[in-house]
Amino acid sequence: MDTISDLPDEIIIKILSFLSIDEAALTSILSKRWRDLFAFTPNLHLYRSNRTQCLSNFMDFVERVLAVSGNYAIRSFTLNCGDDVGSAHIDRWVRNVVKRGGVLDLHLGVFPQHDSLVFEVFACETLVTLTLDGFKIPRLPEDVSLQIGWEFRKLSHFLSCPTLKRLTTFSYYDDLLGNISFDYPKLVYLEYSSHLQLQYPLVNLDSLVEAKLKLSTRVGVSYPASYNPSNLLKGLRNVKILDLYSPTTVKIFEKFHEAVPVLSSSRVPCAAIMNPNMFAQASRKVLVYCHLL
Amino acid sequence: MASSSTNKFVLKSNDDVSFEVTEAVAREFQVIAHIIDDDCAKKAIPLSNVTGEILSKMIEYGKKHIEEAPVDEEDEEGKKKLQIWDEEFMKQFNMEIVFQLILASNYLNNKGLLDLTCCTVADHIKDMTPDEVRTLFNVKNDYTTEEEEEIRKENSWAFE
Repeated sequence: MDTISDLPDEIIIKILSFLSIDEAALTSILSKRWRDLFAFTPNLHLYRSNRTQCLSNFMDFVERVLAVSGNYAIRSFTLNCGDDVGSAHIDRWVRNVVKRGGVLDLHLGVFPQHDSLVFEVFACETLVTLTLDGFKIPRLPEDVSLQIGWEFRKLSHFLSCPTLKRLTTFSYYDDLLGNISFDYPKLVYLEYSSHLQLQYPLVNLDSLVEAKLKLSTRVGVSYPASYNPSNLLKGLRNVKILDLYSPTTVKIFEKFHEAVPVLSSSRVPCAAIMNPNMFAQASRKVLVYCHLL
Repeated sequence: MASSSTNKFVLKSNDDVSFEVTEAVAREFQVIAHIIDDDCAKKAIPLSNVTGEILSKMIEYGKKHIEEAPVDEEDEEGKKKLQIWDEEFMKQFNMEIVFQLILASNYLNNKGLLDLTCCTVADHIKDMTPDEVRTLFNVKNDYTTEEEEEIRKENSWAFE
């Protein structure tokens, strides 16, 4: 008689990978053989959106899953939790997953906010999809001369990620304005919500097909005359779908309209998809820019 | 050399049942594709780990997935149709057959069928109590009461 116990471990692991991690963990109690099998999943999705769940139980669980599974490659990793988990733990968990090698998708959300993302993520050569919510984006301080070399070294990991195809970043918590570069030659999809930075020195987004931009200006901060996002706008020259999410983004496109590129694809017309209820007037102008060019 | 649509191969189960299939269907199973590529497939291909009953079901699956393969990545309708067929296909089997299909699709290396059969087992496990899972899958509980308590404690976030 064939039973589930006749299946080799790697098949049981495969079966369990079709369950959520908490469903799979319930099988740890079936028998000794099943105790740790659930932890070896290529898709580890951890959610603790509800702060009423016991924090230490959640943290112990994550620690145990990562410890038991050792170097088993995690292809897709989600961590959604509150900042009460603590940045030291979050950073360590993310590093642990990236270090194993082979991670394709990372979805990280920390509420309400987290410090800078660990740089290992940007040096990761297998990453295809990265979703960030609540993470700061590293940036260069404009007036610190001594630290520039150090910052730049750190930043260079961030600047270049040759394989990344999709990037979503939300960062409203940058309290310093500076420079950000985008060197993602393979990036197809960019969703970028942030305060407008002073400069975008290097923008390589040659494969970009779809861009959603939600730029804002920092309240109470007067931007110096030298600020100029032209490079970012120029870098969008290959996009086919451009989504300007906020009135401020539209205003920025208006102000720097000379930098808005000739959108190079002739086969697929550029469609600037707007939210007409919010800013119909302004968005029409940008549509005109897009089409005229 | 004949094209793959007319080229035929004979697959032979471990209980001596032979099935004639097109090369395209045979290639749905990677192990067989390798045998064909290595030019070792002149006569019948013996499959020592698969019974005729299981092999006939696997060929049925392989045929369907060749005949009804979605046109491309964006053929949502085609994918949906095949997915519905997959679900119906799995409904006819009891768990014992499902386990044999898992082992055979693992052995012959057909990722689609392996995923489908593993997912079927996972769907059965979902929403069941550990006791129900033990009964359904004939798993013997070898924990002592104290050990079981310990496991519940170490994964208490999942048991909340």
